[in-house]
Amino acid sequence: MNTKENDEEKKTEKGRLIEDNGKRLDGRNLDELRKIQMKVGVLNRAAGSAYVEWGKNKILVGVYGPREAQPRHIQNPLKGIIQATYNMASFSVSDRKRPGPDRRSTEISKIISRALEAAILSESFPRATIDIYLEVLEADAGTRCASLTAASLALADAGIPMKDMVVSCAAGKVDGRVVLDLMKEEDNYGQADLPIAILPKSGEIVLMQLDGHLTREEFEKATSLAMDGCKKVYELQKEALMKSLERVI
Amino acid sequence: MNNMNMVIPGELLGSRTEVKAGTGAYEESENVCSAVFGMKDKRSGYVNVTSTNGFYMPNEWDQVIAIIADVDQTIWITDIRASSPAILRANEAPWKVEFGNTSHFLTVGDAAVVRIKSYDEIGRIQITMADKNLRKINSGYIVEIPTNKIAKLIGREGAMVNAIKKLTKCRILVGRNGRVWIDGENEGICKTILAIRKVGEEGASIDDVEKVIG
Repeated sequence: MNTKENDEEKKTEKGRLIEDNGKRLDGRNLDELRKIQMKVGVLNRAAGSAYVEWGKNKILVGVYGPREAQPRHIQNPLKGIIQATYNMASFSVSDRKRPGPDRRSTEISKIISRALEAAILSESFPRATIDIYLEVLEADAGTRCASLTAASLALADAGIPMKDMVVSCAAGKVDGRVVLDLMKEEDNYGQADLPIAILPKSGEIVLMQLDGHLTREEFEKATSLAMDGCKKVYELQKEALMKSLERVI
Repeated sequence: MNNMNMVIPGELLGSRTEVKAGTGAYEESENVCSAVFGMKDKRSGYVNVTSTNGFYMPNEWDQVIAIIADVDQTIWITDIRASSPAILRANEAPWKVEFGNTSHFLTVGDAAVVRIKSYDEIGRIQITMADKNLRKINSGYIVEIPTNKIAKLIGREGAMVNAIKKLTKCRILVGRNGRVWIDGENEGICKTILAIRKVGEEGASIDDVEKVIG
């Protein structure tokens, strides 16, 4: 039996994704994040790197540069450019993923670049590029949020000047209830998914996507829930950066 | 290293009425905030943040070690570990270079001690060899360490680098771009490389370096 059928059974067995006591399938409360672990400076050859485990997601990010942008026609004489490349390993999902870029990974690469551009002080390195490689080793819903959070950590590790960190988290609608940080079953069988990314100091939103339908009230509730989730993730980011100093001290 | 002084990007460093933004900091409305992850330091009315890791930002008159990446008819294109390649024009070289004869003096892979002549706002870097002590490197080894560890390697009034020179009897030249040239006896070179790596990776003290050199 493949995993999709397993998930279907998991859902239909109990009938719902949220139980009567208000707990979700993995025992979390509606406003609870999955377990998150972050580590900085995991790749020696990269200028900066980070590894994030977010629930069952496993993301590895390497930052290279600033270095001369090639080909030359992509150079901007007034500021640097940010090029993120999101890639899912062929073994990252239960059905083998065909290697190489596809529509989804091109879209995610683009939105991650855009979100990070809002934070990076790219005027410091005109004509240059910062290349960010995001490798999803294991995927379980919410990889774009986990990748963006990891990319921001790797940039800080590389010493790239930024006006703020970038943190990301998703909220959504499952069984008619607004919940934080959707896992795979909730993402597959839920009614909506709203990933957002913010600059925590100013609260500026640098990424917002919506897949599904939400009423105005639900949208406001989901946004506020995701913002609170982002603030919790920000604390974990700070902790991971400070912990990285142990290897220096 | 005191964690209390460590800041992450976006962290508030003070009000603009109290301090000015130095390196690694920026001003936004009424506040001065950190732009990088590193250690904050308030001095003479400025707040600076020294990044724990970072790339080389050229400053005029920095002495650096350049490696030739490409050769043209009248210029050399060099790598100085900055975000853009640095240009060395034939008229900035210490030789009389005929048109098209540039590779006779310096070719791809060669190294030279140069100085930053200019670094403009659109990222163009010009370097020069027309000054004393600037020359082509013909012997020895080049080691690379993070640029933020260069101050540590030099030490207070050159204490660290002088201690290494004295213990290993090697000639050492420290480039601001994190490249260090070493020349001397083979045994001394090996010990110097180990000592420099120790400083580059762990920020070792003079005592630690003396232990490494033995």
